[in-house]
Amino acid sequence: MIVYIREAHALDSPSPMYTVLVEDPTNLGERLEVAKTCMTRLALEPIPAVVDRLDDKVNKAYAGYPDRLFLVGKDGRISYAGGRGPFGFKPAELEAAIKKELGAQDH
Amino acid sequence: MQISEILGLSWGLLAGLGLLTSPLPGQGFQRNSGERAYRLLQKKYDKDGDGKVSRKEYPRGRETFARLDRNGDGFLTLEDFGGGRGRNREAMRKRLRRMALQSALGSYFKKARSIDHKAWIRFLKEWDVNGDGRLEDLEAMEIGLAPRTVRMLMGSFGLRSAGGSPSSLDLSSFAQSYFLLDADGDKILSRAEFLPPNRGSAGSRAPRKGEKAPDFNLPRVHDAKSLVRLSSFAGKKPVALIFGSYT
Repeated sequence: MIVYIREAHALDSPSPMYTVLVEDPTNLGERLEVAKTCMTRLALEPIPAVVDRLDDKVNKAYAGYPDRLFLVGKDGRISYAGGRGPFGFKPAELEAAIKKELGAQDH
Repeated sequence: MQISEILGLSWGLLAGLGLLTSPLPGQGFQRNSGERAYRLLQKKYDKDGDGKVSRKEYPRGRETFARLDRNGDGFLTLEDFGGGRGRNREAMRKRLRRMALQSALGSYFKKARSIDHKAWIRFLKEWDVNGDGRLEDLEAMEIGLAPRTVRMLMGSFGLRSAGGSPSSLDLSSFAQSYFLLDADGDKILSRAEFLPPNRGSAGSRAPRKGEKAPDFNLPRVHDAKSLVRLSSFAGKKPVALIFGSYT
């Protein structure tokens, strides 16, 4: 599940990158629109996605900014916690964790 | 869910999520990309068509306006975004280069307390795998820099690192970039100087393996009226969480 959070480099933020041009959303509706565009443009639609509210509560609870990967086990506990992105964002590690988690379930 | 079903999500997609914080593939990093940003704002807010955005025309807050009005003339103009001639363009280029360098050094030097000039030169020599005095994008990836970090770095020096044709920087001139980061001029790069600034969830700690996953109840992107509660999956199936944004 994708948890769509606060923009890392909105064009009107203190750290713009001007690669993708997006003004920093100021309400949930705006953030939803940007999230939808993102999902479509990056062909991410097969993956279920939710959006964090403007209070960034879930982002903060997981220190998810700017991007990060986790696996929550069936027991509701963290079974894999990735490093902070971009350097710590490693899909291969998540893949290994998922395989391990599912392997453990089958046995 | 079978492993094959999950992997059927195509790891290309998941790996592509790395692109959530990088330029779109093949787009490269354009010169004057600040200009595109300005044109977007101008199109949106320049109601009286005088070619600039006044405080009155800008609806998204005085603080943001003040931050964007870099030359402080009371208007948002192309110059504020590094376009046109003038010092602002050079300042913008430097800032983007600094950010790209910090991204690269942060990932390479990780926990180092500081980087001195010798360590910097060693890093450059390691990067120049074939020793030809040029720092290539492919060599950068060989020493462990992420493709998007390399793209950002090359782009900030005006090079496109897109599909097929490799790009490279001249090692001896690039070596001067060390001083771009040396804000206090003491010839040493402290962590504050060589690491990207910590923003967003600064100060908060990520949950660790074994800890209870913080619960949430958030609206779906494609149906905001429908909420998804993380704890509803407990006892049923594991959940991979991917945090990120478009920019």
